Amino acid sequence: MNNSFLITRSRHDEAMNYLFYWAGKVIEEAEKRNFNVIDLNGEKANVGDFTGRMKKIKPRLIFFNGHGDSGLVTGYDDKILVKVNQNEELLKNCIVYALSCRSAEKLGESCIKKGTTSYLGYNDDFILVFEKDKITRPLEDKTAGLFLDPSNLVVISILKGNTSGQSLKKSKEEFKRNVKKLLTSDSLQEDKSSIPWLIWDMNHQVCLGDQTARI
Amino acid sequence: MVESKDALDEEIRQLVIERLKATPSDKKISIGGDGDFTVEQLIDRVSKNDKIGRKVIDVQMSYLRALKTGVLVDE
Repeated sequence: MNNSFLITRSRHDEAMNYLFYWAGKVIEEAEKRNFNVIDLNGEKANVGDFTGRMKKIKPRLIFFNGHGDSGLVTGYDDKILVKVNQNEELLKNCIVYALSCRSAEKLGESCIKKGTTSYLGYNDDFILVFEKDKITRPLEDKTAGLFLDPSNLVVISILKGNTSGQSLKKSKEEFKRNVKKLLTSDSLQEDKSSIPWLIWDMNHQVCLGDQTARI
Repeated sequence: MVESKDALDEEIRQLVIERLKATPSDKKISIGGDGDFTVEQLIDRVSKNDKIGRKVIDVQMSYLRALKTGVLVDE
């Protein structure tokens, strides 16, 4: 079995910096479980390095952290990594999770048609709320954690051996748990303002392709 | 009819703005590739009814609909 896990994470703007640090938690989990982690971070999150690693190592699980649109996902400096009708075949036989906006809409569908096993992602914008004074310490940002913990749970769950469908369900349940926590009277009124954004992300998170796929 | 739709849209915009005002000013909202916004900036976008403003309205109205349909109730 190929136990390689490829992750892309750049940090060229504030939101990407958050994704970069929080993705580190997923890497820790993968290493704990003896996965061979291919970490394309910073400037290494470019199409050349990505293509090379995909062809040479053929990782089974891919985790994109980057901006996106309906037909593409990007890496460092918002340069395209994968685009519809350009290079989706690189993701053949892979389980993919794209923490990026909208890519499940067209790219995900196209990837499945061209052989990707499962494509998890968002069919509209992924929205993240964070605290201005935590920008230099993203992992201490509890508001961002409300969004990124459930999101990253998709990959952590797959690394633990769950199917892609089960992993989506676990992630949505975690989003819902966070919403319910905020709805309790113990939560500060200002924290409750995150609820609509959390529900948005939860409702737009999807799993395409084989729901029973696992690594 | 057109007038009443405009009036309804304006009411919805005001509702969303009031909801946004409850968001602490120390928070920023990242809306994908469109960038990061302060609460004040989002209120301004909703007032202008531009692409970002309409997205914010969509998010807030989806939340209100979710409450109505009981999406948070365990199956």
